[in-house]
Amino acid sequence: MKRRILIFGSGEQSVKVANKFVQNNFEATIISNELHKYSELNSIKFINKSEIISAKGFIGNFTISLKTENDIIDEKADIIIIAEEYLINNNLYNLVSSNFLYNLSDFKNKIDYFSHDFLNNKTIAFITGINEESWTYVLKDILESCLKLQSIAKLKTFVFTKNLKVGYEGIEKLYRLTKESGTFFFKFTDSTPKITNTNDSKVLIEFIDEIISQNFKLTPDITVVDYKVTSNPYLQKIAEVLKLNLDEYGFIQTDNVHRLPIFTNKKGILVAGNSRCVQSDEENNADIDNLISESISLFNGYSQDSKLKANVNYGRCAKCLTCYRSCPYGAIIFDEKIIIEKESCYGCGICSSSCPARAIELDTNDNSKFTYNLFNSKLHGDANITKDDIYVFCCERSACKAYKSAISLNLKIPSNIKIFEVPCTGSISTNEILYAFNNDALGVLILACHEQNCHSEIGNIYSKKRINYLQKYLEDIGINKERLIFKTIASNMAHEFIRIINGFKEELKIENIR
Amino acid sequence: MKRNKVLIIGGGIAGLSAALELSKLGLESIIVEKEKNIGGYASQFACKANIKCVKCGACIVHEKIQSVINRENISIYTKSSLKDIKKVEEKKYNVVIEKNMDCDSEKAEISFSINAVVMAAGFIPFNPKDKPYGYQKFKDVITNLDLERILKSENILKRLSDNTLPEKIAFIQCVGSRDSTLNHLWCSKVCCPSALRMANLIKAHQNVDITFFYIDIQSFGKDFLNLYPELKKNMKMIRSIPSDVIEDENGKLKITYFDNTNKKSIDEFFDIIVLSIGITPNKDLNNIVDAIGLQINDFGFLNKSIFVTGSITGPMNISETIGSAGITALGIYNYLKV
Repeated sequence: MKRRILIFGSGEQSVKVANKFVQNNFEATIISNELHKYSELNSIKFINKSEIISAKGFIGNFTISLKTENDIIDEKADIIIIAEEYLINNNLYNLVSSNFLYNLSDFKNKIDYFSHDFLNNKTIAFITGINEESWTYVLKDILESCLKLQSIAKLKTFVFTKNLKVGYEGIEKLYRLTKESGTFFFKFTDSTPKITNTNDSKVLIEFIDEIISQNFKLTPDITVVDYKVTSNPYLQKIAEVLKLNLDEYGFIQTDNVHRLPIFTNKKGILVAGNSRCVQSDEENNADIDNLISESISLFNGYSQDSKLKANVNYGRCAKCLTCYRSCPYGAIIFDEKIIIEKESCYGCGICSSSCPARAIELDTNDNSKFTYNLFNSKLHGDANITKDDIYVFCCERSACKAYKSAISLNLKIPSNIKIFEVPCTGSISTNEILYAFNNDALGVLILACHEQNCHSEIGNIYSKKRINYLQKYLEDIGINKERLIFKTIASNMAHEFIRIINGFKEELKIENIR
Repeated sequence: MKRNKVLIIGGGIAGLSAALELSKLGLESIIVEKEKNIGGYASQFACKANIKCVKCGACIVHEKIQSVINRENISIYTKSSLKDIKKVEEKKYNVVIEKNMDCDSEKAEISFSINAVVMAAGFIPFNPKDKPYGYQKFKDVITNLDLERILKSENILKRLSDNTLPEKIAFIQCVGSRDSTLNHLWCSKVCCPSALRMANLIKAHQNVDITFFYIDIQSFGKDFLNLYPELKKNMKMIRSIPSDVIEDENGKLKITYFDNTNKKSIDEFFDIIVLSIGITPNKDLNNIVDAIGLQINDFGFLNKSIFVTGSITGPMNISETIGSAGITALGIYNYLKV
């Protein structure tokens, strides 16, 4: 039976995604919140004018409820793809619309329809990256437009910009070619050109040529302004229902390297192209191949499932929903009782440490009755416990990798340290830290991932907050708060790992703690 | 399908990502890497976070290395090179790998057959010794790659010549990129992000003035619009590429540049100069390129195809390289499936 893919999208990108899935033997359905502009294609199934209202399930078994024009329908899916288009904001310079003003996004498609006579002897100005830094694909459109215009008629083309964005294949060469074939480039560093309207609605550009320090005024026959790409507002709704994290610009997929290239925080839901960020067509196409490749892998026996899974002790659960709210992976549902979807759980332990009733534990996935807690977690270093010991709680994704890398590089590992490998620093509860002090730890160091680098998005933030709170509490009970610190590190920084520990040991010595 | 083997030339981030994607699809791959370790240039990169991650991707490279080592259907030959490759039939090549290249007494050859080849041999960093910036002549003129390696192990940057703390550091961008005298008509695009992030990191750890010489700052990352104004505040940005660097009798490095704002030539002294060297094509591969029918473009990079991945096709950052592995993996999967 073919695996079913549901694709959210209303434009070209979603069709490209669907076609490629179909080519690779999947069944693809596109869900559009409007009338999809390609909905006459018959290789793909379309569900038009339908809005997502709820969702349940997990990878291999999703059910999405949609509100269509006159009904509510349920759609099943193995994998969900978000491939909505971006929106274009054309009004970056507050100019009145007129026959003298074009937006770059429209203009490049119109050039072919301009006659020689219309263009001949005209002065055409392109404005890009003046009020806000621009992107390479915008410059590419401008350069190609200039060259095309030059080939149609005898005219003058100008480009006004701040930083010329040439960081894309072939653009530097194209820029030089455009310059050689007669386009004037004005680049601004210390000044900003003033772009306004004249009384007759033409565009007036007042600027200083910074090379010769002279003022100029230009009233082009045609002015073409660049655009800014913004996220599709419908992504907010999709994200809310599917419990996906957005970045601060409203794109699905947080700005977190662990999500590259096409992953979201929820297993089985993938995101592509301009639903996840602003990027070139070529990168959009790479995303599509990654979607297919990942989807084939997922049903090909490939599994990278985590060892640990959260498990609820219903006798203790007070249904306070703290876990439901704190789960970064959308793996906890509430249906009369708290249910943890094992398929979506990464075993980070954030729910477990956040649970006020301590009703959630991390178990291994294989029913071996192993219950994770700090003191049967992987312990590295000297097994003998002494009163000079420093307990280092290391996130297995960053600090623990740095520690292992320090060992393989033969760096001198400081003595008297106990390394506890934890799935995420967000899993460390206050109880465990107090237990460490109770066990006569000299100091406790929490080594987390850098902010915005946490695979569980919020684990390091929760941990930091918890440590701040505990430091105050330690003072109240007469323990020097300097004995507990929180630091961040990356997996590839072995030397830094050693520096941090030695630094902490030094601090403890200076403080003369005991 | 299971018996299909893919040979990957190059164990940098491109080769590793391709191998991992192929592995997930159930294909076996063999990585041939000429260096002692896998990971390539990107594995020498420092984390540039200052509490907050700046998304340089260096940690991801480290994690990919770990995953590749632990994956059953990926084998790795380091200190090795592809000595010979012959196409036997469609989707079948006989290859000879030379192992332990660096040691004459331990050199060995092994032969086997494979079903597809992926070229992931990466780039060659531009060698700035012929530029008038005194690289390899003055100890405190270093490249961005040198700086990456230093910042990976040290948190304080010192002068290599006398181990003192620098008071003034200059970054010179576009060394070997966007340069018509070299016929390098491309932007290397990874140097703006890497240099700005490193400059920012140094500023966070030590009291130092940083001057940044550039042509155009390239946009990078999701957060560029927020990040760039912040980064700019911490340093002196000069839109001019210096003509040369000279060391004076006190070991200070003199940069001469044209100040466009005041329209005059200026001499300024620095303690360390970082040259942001560009990405240039890896041209050491012509025999392989011919054998598997790949094409070289006008710049000397390889044309894109499913058999080519990463910066051997042109300048690419870490995240793009990871992304491009999906194209190769799916392409090869379908190519071998039929």
